Amino acid sequence: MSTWTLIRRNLGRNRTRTILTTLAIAFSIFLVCAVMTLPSVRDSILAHSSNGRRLVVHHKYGIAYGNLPVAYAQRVRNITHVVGLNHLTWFGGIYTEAKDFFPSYAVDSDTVGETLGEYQFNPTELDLFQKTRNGALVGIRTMQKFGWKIGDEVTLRNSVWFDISLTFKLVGTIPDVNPVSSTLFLFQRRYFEEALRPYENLGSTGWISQMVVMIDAPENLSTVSAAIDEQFRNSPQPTLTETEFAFTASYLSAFDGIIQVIMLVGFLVVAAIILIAANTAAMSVRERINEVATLKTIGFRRRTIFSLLVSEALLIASLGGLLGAVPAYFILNAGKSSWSPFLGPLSLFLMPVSVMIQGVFIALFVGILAGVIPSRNAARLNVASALRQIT
Amino acid sequence: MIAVNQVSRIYRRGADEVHALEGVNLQIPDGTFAALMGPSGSGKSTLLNLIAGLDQPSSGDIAVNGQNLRGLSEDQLAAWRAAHVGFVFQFYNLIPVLSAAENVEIPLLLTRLSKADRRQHVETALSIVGLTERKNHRPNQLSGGEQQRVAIARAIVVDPQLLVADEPTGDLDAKNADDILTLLRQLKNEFRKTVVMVTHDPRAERYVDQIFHLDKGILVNGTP
Repeated sequence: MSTWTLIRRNLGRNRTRTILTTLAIAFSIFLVCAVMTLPSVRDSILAHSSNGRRLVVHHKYGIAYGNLPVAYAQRVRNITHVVGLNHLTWFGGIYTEAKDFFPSYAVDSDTVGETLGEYQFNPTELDLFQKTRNGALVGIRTMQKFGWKIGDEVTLRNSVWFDISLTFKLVGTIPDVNPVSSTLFLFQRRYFEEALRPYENLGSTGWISQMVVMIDAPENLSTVSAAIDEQFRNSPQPTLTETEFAFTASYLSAFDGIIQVIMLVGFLVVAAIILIAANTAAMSVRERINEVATLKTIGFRRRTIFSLLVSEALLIASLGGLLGAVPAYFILNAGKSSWSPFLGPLSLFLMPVSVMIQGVFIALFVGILAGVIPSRNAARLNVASALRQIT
Repeated sequence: MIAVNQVSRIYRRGADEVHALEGVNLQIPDGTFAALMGPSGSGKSTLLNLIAGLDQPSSGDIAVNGQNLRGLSEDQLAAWRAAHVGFVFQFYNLIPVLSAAENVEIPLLLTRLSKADRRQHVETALSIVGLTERKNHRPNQLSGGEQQRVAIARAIVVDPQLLVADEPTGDLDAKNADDILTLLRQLKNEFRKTVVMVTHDPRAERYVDQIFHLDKGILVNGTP
C-alpha cells in the first residue's frame, strides 16, 4: 500500500461524483481550447500575411464601401519599383447554403502566379488555369469540405453581382500553406466580365475590389504606397494603399469585439468550473473529516494531509484536462472547418499544440484552486476538537 | 512512566472559559493498564488527549517515558505520536476504501520501512489480534468486534510503548467488549505495553491495574 493507493481509492469512493466532475472539467477545457484557438488563428493569419514586398490597394474608405476601376491597374504597374500586380474582385459565391461560406475571387490569371508565389501553385495546374476560360483554382480545405475533385464542374451563385450563377471547371488546388489560401476559390476575370456584360449599361463591368502589388525591395514600400495614393487622390475612387499585414490586421480588427466576448464567455466557464470543482472537493473533504482526524492522530503532518487531498483534486483536474484538450486538438483540426459569415477566417479552427498544452495547464490550475482551500482547512484541523465531534 | 504534574486545560468559548481539567496529578508506571473513568464532561477524554500528545495543557507538565510534551510544536508532537503512541477509537475509524491489511499498514507509511518489511509488520499485528484470514476484507465486510481488532492491530503495528483507547468497547456488545478488553490486557501482559483507556464500562475494572476517577475536571481518586 502507498499514499498513491490511498489517493486512488478515495477517488473511487464516490465514482459518480468523480466521473461527473471529471467530465465537467473536460467539457469546459474543450470549450476553452476552442475559444483560445481564435486568437491563435488570428495570429497565424497575420503571420502569413507579412510578405515584405507586397502592398494591397483598395478604396480609400474601405473595401465594403466601393470598388476601383480596373484601369487603375495599368497605371499602378507603371509606377517605379512596381514589379508585379494582380487585381482581385470579390464574387461572394455560394455553393450550397450561405453558411457554407468560402472566399471567391475573380483574378488576373496571367499574373496570379508571380504575385502570390508563396501559395505554391502547381505549374501545370496554373498553366491549365490560364488556358481554361472557366477554370478555377481551389484551396485544399474547400475541396475537402465539399468533396470536390479536380475535373469536377461546380456552379456558384451569388447575391452580390445581379444574382448571376457561374459554372466552373476545377483545374487545380491551392495547397494548405496558410489558413486563408487553403480556402480560396480563384477564377478568371475574363469569364466574370463575360457574365456581367448583359448588365454593362448598369455599370457592372470594369470594377475590381483590390489590387495586390509586388515591389522590388521592402525599403520601397512607403515610397510606392505614397505614389499610388497620390495618383488617385483627387479621383472619384481614391485609394488607400497598405502593407499586406496592415490590411489583414485592419480586416481582422472587425472581429476583435466578437473575439473578446467569446473569450470572456470561455473564461467565465472556467470560473464556473472552478466553483463546481471546489464544491466537489469541499464535499469530499467534509465527508472524511473523521478520517483526516484519524490520520493526524496517527501522526500524519499538516503538509502530508494537504498534499494527499490536493493530489486528489489535481488528479481529477488533469484527467479532465487531458480528456478535454486532446480531443479538442484532433476534432478542431479535422480539416473540415472553413470561413463563416460570423467569424470570417477566424472560424478556420486550426488549434496549435500550444493551445492544447495551455488547456491542460488551465485544468491543473482549476484543480489547484478548487482543492487548496478545503485541503488547507482539513490539514489545519484541530485534532482534539475533531475527535470530540466524531466520538 | 506517564507523569502528569499539575495539569490544567482551559478552553475559551468566546468570552467564556471552560475549565476542562484543573490541577490534575497522576502517575502511570510502565506496563500498566489504566482506566480513566467518570461522568460525561468530567475531562477524561481531555486528559487522554493530553497524555497522547493530541493537545497541549494550559499549565502543568506531562512527561511520557521522559519526554516532556509541553511546548512541542505540532509537527514534533505528530512525529512523537507516530513513533510512540497507538490509538484505538470508539468507532474504529477505519478507512472504508482500504482492506484490513491496508488499514493496518497506514502508520507504517510514516516510517522508512521497505514494502516487504511493512508487509511483515502487518502480518504480525494481524496475527496478534487473530485476524490474519480476514486481512483482505474491507471494513464493511467485518463485524464490529473484528473492526475494533483491526483498529488495535493498526495501533500496535509500529510497536509503540503507549496505547491509548477512547471508549474502545463503547460500540460493541458484551461478548465483543470482553474480547477487546482481554486483548488489551494481553498486550499489556505479553508485550509490556502501557495502556490508558477512557471508559464508562464497569466491566473494565476486572481488566485494569489502575483506575482514575475524574469529575468536573478534577481527579477525585485513583486506585493503584
